[in-house]
Amino acid sequence: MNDSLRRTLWISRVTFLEAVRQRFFAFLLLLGAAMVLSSVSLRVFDFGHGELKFIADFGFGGMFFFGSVLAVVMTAQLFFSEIDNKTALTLLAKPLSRAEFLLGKFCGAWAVLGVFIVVLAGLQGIVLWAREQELIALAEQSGKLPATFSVGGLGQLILMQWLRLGVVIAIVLAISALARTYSA
Amino acid sequence: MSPAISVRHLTKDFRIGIRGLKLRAVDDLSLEVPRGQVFGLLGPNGCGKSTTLKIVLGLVAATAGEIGILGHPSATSAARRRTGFLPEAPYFHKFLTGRELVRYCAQLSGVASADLDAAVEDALGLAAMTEAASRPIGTYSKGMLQRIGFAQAVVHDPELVILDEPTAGVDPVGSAAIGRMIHAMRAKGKTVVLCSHLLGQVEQVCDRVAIMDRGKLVLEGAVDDVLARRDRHVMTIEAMTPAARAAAEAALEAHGAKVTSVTHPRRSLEDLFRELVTGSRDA
Repeated sequence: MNDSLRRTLWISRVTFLEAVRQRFFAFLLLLGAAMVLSSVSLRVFDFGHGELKFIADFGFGGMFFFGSVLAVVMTAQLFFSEIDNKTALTLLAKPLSRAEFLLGKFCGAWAVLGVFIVVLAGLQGIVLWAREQELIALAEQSGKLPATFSVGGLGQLILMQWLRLGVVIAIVLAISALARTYSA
Repeated sequence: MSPAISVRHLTKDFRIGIRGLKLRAVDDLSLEVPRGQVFGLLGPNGCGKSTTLKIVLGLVAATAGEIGILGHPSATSAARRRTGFLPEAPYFHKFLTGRELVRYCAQLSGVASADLDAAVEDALGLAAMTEAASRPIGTYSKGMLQRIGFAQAVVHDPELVILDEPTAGVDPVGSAAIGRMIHAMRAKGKTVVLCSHLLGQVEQVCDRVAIMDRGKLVLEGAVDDVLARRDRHVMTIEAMTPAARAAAEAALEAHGAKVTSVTHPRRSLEDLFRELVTGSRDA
């Protein structure tokens, strides 16, 4: 591994540790989990769409909403305040390029969102699987075709959510850097 | 041997506002910091000393001029590997422990994995932070923050250490501890550049000083040379009676000398404070 990549990884690691040790990460994770779990009891409002689709849409909607809040708050706090508080000066005085610093911050924040999405999507998968089992049992009694969900599709949704949140982080990083440049 | 820092004809202009009004922060500054000495950079707020340090560290680009660190152009990796920096009022990642921060900075500064543990413990020991190193930084007092900042600045054993207001907001006991760390660095042959408003401390720890005003260098030299008044002398006398004083004054006048004032020596409030609260360290 070359030195540049190693330094980027160290910055990512510390950014990740700093973020997951803060209260708002656990708080938003709990809110997101509550939203995913509540989708089961709200499935009566499926507006004629498939029940499993409603549960998935509702859960992933909450995941993206709270994930976006986390991405904005965390990135602004970890990047903007780091420049404002001169923490960045301490780091940039070391043999470290600004590109490595920015990339490290981005990767660390994106990894936090990765954990956030994986935990909530895992919960979402369990909720979908449990409801699917109930629907299969009901379908067998009534002789209809059971509604099922695709694990591959769920995986694609997880990946898409993570990519979308990566774009949110990149936008917040760019705004934070520009805002700091003009206020400096 | 090249000096620790060489600054030649440094000028820095900032552009302010939409119309881009020019503000000259540093004006044709030239100075050299010799190796192995403690160098004090002094001046009132806004005189350009912090800007000068940031340019030396490569954090801000110069408008004109040349800067060299230990024979390398500033802002290069080679120069930064051999330089440690403690910014003014440092704010570190408060959810990391002190040891994690110092280790992180050692890794970024290029300390080899095999030497990492020893380097971290040495730096923590030098800053007297070993006991508190496992606590989150968010629980540290101001003095401890400065000391952990010092540890991160010296963890990679740099040849040049730049300290921007290292004692700002720190009580006299903590300030004395930082003074001891600076002496320890000098004893190891390191060059320390110190930017401070505490002139008493600068006088105690620095070998040379430079004073800046409005972006220009107004004085530079060895502390003893710039402070000594060669035409005046001070004697400290114990158990002096009025008769002894009159006889001494008469003897001096007989040789053409004149006693202009006789006062009782005073100790500084800082010395008295440190004497009274000795041992109460903010660990």
